[in-house]
Amino acid sequence: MSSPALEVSGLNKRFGGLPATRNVSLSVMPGERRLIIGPNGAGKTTLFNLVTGDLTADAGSVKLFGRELLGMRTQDRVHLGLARTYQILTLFPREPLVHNVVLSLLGLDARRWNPWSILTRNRDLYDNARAALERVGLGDSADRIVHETSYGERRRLELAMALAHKPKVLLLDEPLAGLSQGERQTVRALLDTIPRDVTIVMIEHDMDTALGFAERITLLHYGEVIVEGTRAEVVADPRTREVYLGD
Amino acid sequence: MQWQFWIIQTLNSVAFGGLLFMLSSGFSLIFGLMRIPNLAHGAFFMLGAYFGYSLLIRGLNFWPTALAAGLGVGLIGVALERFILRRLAGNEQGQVLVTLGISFIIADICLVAWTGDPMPLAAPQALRPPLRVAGYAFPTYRLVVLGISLVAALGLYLLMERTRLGAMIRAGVDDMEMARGVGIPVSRLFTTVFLLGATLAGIGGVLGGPILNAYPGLDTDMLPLALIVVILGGAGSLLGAFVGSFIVGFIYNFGIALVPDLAYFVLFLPMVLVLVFLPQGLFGRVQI
Amino acid sequence: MSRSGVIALAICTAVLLVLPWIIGNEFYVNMASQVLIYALFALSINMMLGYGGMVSLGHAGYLGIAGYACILATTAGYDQLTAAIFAVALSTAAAALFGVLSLRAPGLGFIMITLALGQIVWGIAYRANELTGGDNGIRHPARPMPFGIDIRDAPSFYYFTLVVFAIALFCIWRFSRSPFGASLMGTRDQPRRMRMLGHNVWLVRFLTFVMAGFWGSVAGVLYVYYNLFLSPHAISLQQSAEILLMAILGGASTLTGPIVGAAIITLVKNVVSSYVERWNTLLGVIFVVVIVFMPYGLVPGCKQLWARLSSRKNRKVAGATASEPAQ
Repeated sequence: MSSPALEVSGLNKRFGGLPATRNVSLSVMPGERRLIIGPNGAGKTTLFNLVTGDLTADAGSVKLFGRELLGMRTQDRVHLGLARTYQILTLFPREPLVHNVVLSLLGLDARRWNPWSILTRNRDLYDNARAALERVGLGDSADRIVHETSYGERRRLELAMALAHKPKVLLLDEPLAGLSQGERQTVRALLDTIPRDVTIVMIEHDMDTALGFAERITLLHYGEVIVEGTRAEVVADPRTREVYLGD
Repeated sequence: MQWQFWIIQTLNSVAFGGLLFMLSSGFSLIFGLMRIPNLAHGAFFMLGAYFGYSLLIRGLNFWPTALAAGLGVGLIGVALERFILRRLAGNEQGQVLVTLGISFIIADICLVAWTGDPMPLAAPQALRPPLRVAGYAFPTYRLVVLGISLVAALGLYLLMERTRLGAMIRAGVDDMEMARGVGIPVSRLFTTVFLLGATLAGIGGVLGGPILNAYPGLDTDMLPLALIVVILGGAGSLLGAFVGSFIVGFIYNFGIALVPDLAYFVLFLPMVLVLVFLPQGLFGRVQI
Repeated sequence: MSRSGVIALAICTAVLLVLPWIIGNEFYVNMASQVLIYALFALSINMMLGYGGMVSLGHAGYLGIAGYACILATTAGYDQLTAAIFAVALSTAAAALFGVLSLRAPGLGFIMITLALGQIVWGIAYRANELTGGDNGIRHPARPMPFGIDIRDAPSFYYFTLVVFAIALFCIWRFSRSPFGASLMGTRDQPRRMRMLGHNVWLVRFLTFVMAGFWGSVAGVLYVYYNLFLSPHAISLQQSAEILLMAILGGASTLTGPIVGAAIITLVKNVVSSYVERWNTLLGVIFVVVIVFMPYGLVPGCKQLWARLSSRKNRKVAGATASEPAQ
C-alpha cells in the first residue's frame, strides 16, 4: 500500500461567516487521475487555492508525498513538485509564447536570481521551452505574441507552462472551459499523453470529456465531500443526482 | 511649575490630534472607498486655512468662515473628482499621481495668491482669554478645537452607522463589486465622499489656522502626518483615524517639545513597529 | 539589438563624447552634467516603476542620505573615496530597511509608505540643525580628484559624470535583459502566477528596491559633487515627484525613456525658471497632462509613430495592401 501523492485531511476555511470548505478530506494516489465535480459555489476552486497556498486554511492538513504543505509559502510548494493551471487564464499577454514558458522554467532554476547575464543567451532554457510547447502542439507558434493567439492555443500554453515543471502533482482548474468541441478533443488527447509519474487532480464542468478521463471522482457541495469513488460508483450514487438536480 | 508644562503640552497634543482627525478622517474615507490615497489632501487643508484667512480679514465671523472655507475646498475637491479622477477610473496608479500633480498646482497658486509670508488666523475673540480652573490657565481655543473634533468624530460615526449614506459607504469599503451589484450609485457616492473628505480637510485648515497659521509648506507638513495616521490606525477605519490621530498628535507634539531635532525620527519608530508587526494598522479593514 | 538601435547608440555616444566641444558655453556643459545626473536618478527609479510596477515617492531620500553622508564624512577628514563608498553603502543599507517596510503593503500602500519615508528623511534633514545645517544646508568642501584628475572645471566634470553614467546605464541595461529582470517584469504583470511558477515575488521586489536605492545613492553623490552643496530643498517630495515624472514622461516601459524625460524636464525647468517663477504649477500641469493623455510616455509614442510612418512608406513602395495595419 503506497502512500498518497496528495492527502487532504479535515481542511476547513471560512470567509467571515461563510464556510467555504467544510472538513474536506481526500487522498489521491500517485499516478491517479482524480476529478473534482460539483455545482457552482461548491468550493472546488477554493480547495485548490488552499492546496496551493493562495488561501490560508483555518484548520486541517495538506500533505504532498508526506510533506505538510500548510504554512509553507506558495513558491516553496511549487519547488516540492506542485503545479497548477487557473480557471481564468493568467498568462503574460504581451510576450511571446516561448517567453511565457521560459518564465515558468526560471521558477525552478537558480539563474532567475542573475541580474547580469543576458536571458536570451541561455539557449538551453529556450530549447526546453520550445520542446514543452511542441508537446502541446504549439511548437510552430512559439514566437507569436500571446494576445495574437486563439483562446484554445492559450489554454494549451497554460498547460505547457505547468507541465514544463515536470510536476509531481498537477492541479487543473477547468482546463476545458470555453473551448470549442474540437479544441476540447485536442486538449483531452493532450491530457492522455501526460505520463503516469504526474498525478492529476482536475476540476471540470464538462462531464462528457471529463468523465472519460477520470478514474476516481470526488463530488463537492457547499464545501463538503458528498460522494467519492470510482466513476461508476459516483455516477450510480443517488446523492449525485440529488446534488445536481437540487432538492 | 513642571505641571504647567505637561498640561499645556498634553492639551497641545490633543488639539493637534483633533486637527489631524479632521485631516485624516477624510483621507481615510476616500482611500477606503475609492482606493485612492488623495495626495492633494494636505493641499486641501492648507487651502482651507488660506480661504479662512481671506474671509476673516474681510470681517466674517470665525464659525461661518470655517464652514464657508470648508465648503469652498469641498467644491474644488468635487471638481477634481468629477473632471480628472473619473477620467482615470481603473487606473489607480494614475489617479494617485494626478492628485500629487494637483497638490503642486494648488500649493503654487496659494503662493501666488497669498505670498510666501505666514498668514495668521485670528481665533474668535471670545476664546482668546485663557480658561482659569483651579489656579491653572488652559488655552481655551485649543480646548474648543478638541471639542469640535470630538463632535465631528461623533457626527461621522452617526453618519456611518445610522444613515443610508453611511451604510452605502461601508458596503463600498467592504466590497465594491458587491455594492455595485446591489445597485448602490457608486459614481454619486464617490463624489459625495470626496466632497465630505475635502470639506473636512478645509474646515480643519481653518480650525488649525490660529494654532499653525497658513504658510507655504503647510501642505507638505500635514500630508505625511495624515499618511502616518492612516498607516498606524488602518485604512478605511474611522476608529483607526481617530485613535491614530491622537497617537500621532502626542508623539509629534511631545517630540517637538522635548527633542526638536529628532521629532520626525520619533514619529518613524511607531510607524516602523506597526508596519512590521501589524501591516493592517491597528483597526485596518482595508488591505492597503 | 536591432541595426537601427546600434546606429542610434553609436550616434548618441559620439555626440555625448564631443558635447563640450560642440557647446562652447560652460553654462550649457554644466546643464548637460545635470541632465546626466537626473537621468541616472530617473533610470534608478524606473527599475522599480517600469520593470517592477512599483511607484516610489520617496526616492529623493537616497539623494539626501548619500549626499549628507558624503559631505559629513569628507568634512570629518576622510578621503574622498572612503567618503563616497561610505555614503553609498549607508544609503543602500537604508534602502534595504525602507524596502522591508514599504513592501509590507504592495500597491497603493507602497506609494504611501515610500512617501512617508521620504518625508521623514526630509524632516530629519530639516530639523537636525547641528548635523545637517537645517534649512541652510551644508557645503561639500571640494570636488574629488579621481585618480588625481582635476574635475573642477565644467568639461572635466562632465566627462567624469559621463563615465559614471555610462557604467550605470550598462549595468541597468543588462539588468533589464537578465533573467532577474524578466522575473521582475513577470511579477509586475502577474504576481500570483509567478508565485505559482516558483518565483519568490517578495524577494524579487525587495532586491530591485535595494538596487534602485544603490543607483539613486550613486546619483546622490554625483549631485553633491556637482553642486558642492546640499540642503533639504533638494530632497523634498517635489524632487521625488520630479524624478518620477521624468521616468513617466519619457516612457517607463523603456530603457531610454527616463533619459529622455530627464533631459526634457531639466531643460524645461532651467529655461522656465529664468523667465517665470511658476515651475511648480507647470510641473503639476505636466503631471496631470501626461498621466491623463500620455500614460505610456513619449518614447513608446514616438516609436509607434515611427513604425506607422515607415510601414506606410513600405506599403506605398510595395503597392499592395496585403499586410495588416501596424499596431
